[in-house]
Amino acid sequence: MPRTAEEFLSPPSVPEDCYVSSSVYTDPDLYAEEEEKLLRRTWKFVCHVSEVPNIGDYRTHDWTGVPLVTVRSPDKKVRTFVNSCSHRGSRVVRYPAGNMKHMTCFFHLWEYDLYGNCTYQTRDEGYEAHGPTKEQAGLREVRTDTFCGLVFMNFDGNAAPLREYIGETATAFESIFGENDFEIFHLNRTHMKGNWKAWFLTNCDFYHEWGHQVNRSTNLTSPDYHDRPWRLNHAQGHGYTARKLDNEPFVVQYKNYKGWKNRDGLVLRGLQPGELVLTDLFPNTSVFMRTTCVRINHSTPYGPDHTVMEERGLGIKGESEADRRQRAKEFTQVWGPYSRNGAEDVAFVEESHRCQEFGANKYDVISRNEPIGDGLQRPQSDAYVRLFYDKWGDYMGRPANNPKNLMTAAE
Amino acid sequence: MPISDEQITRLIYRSCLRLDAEDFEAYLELFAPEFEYRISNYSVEIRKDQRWMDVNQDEYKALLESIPLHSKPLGTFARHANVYDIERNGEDRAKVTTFLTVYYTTPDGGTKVFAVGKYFDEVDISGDQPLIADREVRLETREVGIGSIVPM
Repeated sequence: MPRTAEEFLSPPSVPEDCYVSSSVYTDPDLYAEEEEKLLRRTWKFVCHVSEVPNIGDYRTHDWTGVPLVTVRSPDKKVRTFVNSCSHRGSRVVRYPAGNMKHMTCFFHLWEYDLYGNCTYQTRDEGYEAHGPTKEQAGLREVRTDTFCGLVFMNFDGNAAPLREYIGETATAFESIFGENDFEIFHLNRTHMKGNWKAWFLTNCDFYHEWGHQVNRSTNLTSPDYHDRPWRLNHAQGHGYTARKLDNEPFVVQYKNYKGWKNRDGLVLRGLQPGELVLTDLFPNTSVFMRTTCVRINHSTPYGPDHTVMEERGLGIKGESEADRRQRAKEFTQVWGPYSRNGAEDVAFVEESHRCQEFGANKYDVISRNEPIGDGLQRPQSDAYVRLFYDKWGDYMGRPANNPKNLMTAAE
Repeated sequence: MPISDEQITRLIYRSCLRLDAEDFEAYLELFAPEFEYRISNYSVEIRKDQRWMDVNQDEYKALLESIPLHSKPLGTFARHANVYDIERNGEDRAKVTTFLTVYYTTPDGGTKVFAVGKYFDEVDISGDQPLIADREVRLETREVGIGSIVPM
């Protein structure tokens, strides 16, 4: 039965933690608050260590609008700095990646070493009277740490250490990353008109697999598809799905998709042929292990309705050209801009946003409940999405179902 | 009678027209048996060449046949190609370099540039008709918005 205007404007008739106000995806004030209270206080994925293997290797990136540069310093530690000259604020390093001996601002040629110290001020005698001295003009360093080869940064100096932040969720990938020496082979970026949370939660929403022809034919046809429980980290807001309750792997039937074969070769150490493991790290990093390759998915928001999704593929360092080619081939079957799933996923987010933006959809329903025993939930449950918004509410000090404390039509 | 440059050029343009029309069966008739197809680029971010699609004949055929089952972009693609160079390699093969611009038109009629790149084709000219034996779509554009399951 169609809903009346009043019913449409009222919250869904489900428990309060089972729906989300669409304003969390569209409201500019909420987004500004997210930057301050959440995104600048949690660990943000930067890159894989193989992107900066040598001293002087760097990657530039942004977070909450702040330009950053992550570089391997001469002591081999990976550091991150706010990529803005202490003088007049220009970006110091302007290219996406490369190798440098030092950082020179192209505006007035101030120079910084790879530890962020200011080492040169053009005609520095002009600063003798009032300063600043070079000692006072270093770049702002941002806390940076590495876990399993994944580089993260955090603006919040008081946040829990990275390892503690990842917590027990490390179980899902620590051994696999420990047993394989990974190296990046794929990167693509996509600007999308949609919210960063909507993208991340698409990664966490197994129910959306019904929207993918690949997943309908290779995953959902497996009789034991629903036997993998979500393993939730309530303290930190992370979650993963890996082995089934009997500790047997969930095996994807790739051969069920026309033109594909099962993944029996080039299996990553720690995984079984066909095995799929997915880890979601709050607030927006997903690590997928799909038998032969790893996908790291992360996004950078530039506002409530502009998200840059970044997708990386990892293979084995030093492998033969033929093996790398096969691994990359299998990666891009499912992921990447010309893959079977890539365009579909972006469309899911953009189409939802289109309706949320001007109020055609007031609430997201996240009420799926599929218990599997022992308090655990099956993969197509919304248990993780609910946990995400519970955690979001903790950081924001607002409930996601009514973040602006608006009166409902019913009230 | 040897294959002329004009026949080779027409082959490349036909491949664009047939792909624009999503007439995949007719499009595949332009390829030699055992061909390979790749979409590649150089990633400035990771400082490496990368392949975003890498398929052999059977895989490509299966991919094209599967497209109707997928949620592909709702609009249409139009390819604008200019054959820049044809370099003959003996009597059996020619290397063809073609500049490619792909436009995307939304269902409500707006058009934008989707991608820019080049076709690097190896053309089999040993028979009566030229056939594409190997195609590498080398992209300059690495940000392709929503992306596409439909090859370039």
